[in-house]
Amino acid sequence: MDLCAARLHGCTVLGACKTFASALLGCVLFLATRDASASACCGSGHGLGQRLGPLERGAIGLSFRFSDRFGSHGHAGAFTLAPPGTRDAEGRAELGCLFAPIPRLQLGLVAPVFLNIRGSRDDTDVGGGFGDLSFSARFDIVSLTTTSAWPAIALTAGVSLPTGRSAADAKDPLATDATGLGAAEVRPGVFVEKNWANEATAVFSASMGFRTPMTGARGERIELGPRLRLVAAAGPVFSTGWSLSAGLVHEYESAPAIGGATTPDADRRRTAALLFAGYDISERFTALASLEVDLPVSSLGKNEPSAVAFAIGLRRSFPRYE
Amino acid sequence: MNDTNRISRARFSRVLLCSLAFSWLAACGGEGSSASPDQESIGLRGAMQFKLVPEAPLVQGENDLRLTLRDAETGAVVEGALIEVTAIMPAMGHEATFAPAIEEAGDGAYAVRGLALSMPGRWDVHVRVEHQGTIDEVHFYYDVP
Repeated sequence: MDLCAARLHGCTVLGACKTFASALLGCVLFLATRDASASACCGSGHGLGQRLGPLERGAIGLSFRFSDRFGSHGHAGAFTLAPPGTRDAEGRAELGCLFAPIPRLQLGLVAPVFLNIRGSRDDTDVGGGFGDLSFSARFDIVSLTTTSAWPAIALTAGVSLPTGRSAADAKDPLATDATGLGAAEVRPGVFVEKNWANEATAVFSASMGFRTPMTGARGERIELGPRLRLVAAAGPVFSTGWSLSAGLVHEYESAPAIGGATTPDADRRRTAALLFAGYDISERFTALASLEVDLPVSSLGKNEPSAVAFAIGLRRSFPRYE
Repeated sequence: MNDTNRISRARFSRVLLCSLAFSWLAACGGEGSSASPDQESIGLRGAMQFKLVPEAPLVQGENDLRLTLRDAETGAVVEGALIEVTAIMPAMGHEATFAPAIEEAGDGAYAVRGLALSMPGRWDVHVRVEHQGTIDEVHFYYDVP
């Protein structure tokens, strides 16, 4: 889901609108360490990777993500630093689980909880609550192996439900109690992954989020535009259990239609740099960490807040064969 | 690990660092066509002259503004008007969290208290005025940093 949206409406919930957030919300990346390991990732704060390893039947994960807004991109794309005295921070805890009922199919669930701290001038408000519940599915067309010349290819799908509070329904002037997008989202996508002899990995994913219409305070119909998300990352894998990866995420969302009208220059885009680290504590437990920084480059963002986010997580996997 | 892998990883690290450095160096401030804080316009129906001025630089959160109304033809101040002020973020598709309080300040001026602009970005502030059977409205655009 769109984190920005979730955060700001959650719109990004710094992201609202942060994504908004977008959404908002879940680009998850991967850092495979061994064949038995699952994805380690955290593109938008997930402590649980988007996929299970070939020998895993299920996994649960808990992650904590902290972000702080340092600026924003305006309607013309120019980046502006946040004014002195502005406080716009978000804490997010996510509990996730993945299950593979059959080897090629994986089903997942992520439940987030938000704590927002925002302030300007003399006012500081704190709020939060339960966010948008999201479900995921993945079907492997080409399974991951380290010996094949072909990359693994999977079709993915995500569905998020508006179980959080949207920015439009917030009771606080700074919308600290906004924890969701305010609309349901369906996100089909594709995930491609290549592993070179367990020494390096590269992943690419593309997905498009389609949202259900909303009704504004004056009864007008609000239709959010589809949101495209592209993620690419690559990095080394070490025999010590460490894996590192760096990459980029780019999102684009066309302008919403409000009461049937679309405002010029109301489309949105963001580009962020990603760094991930994973460490296999034991055969079953993996520690994860990630850093995501929205790039303050004028041509790479538009109508989006810019933030730096750090996430840590712990993942416990369950093997297919004991 | 073989030499090829070492070289590839070193090259990958250099490219990443250079990209990040370039990103920060290329960052620039200021919206090229940022909306002015003080805005003045004839209404969409041509009946009134609207002037909306923030009392302090706009910030994320509650803001106070001063609205001045004049007859577009005669220039006479408009007093005792019924006023509605709403705000929406066109890019995010959501409105301000609640309506501001409006108090008449005399001589055609009105205090708009507590306009809640909950996040940074461009806001479309819509002012609708009804006065002695005449209705007019205007949209002003403000950028919250």
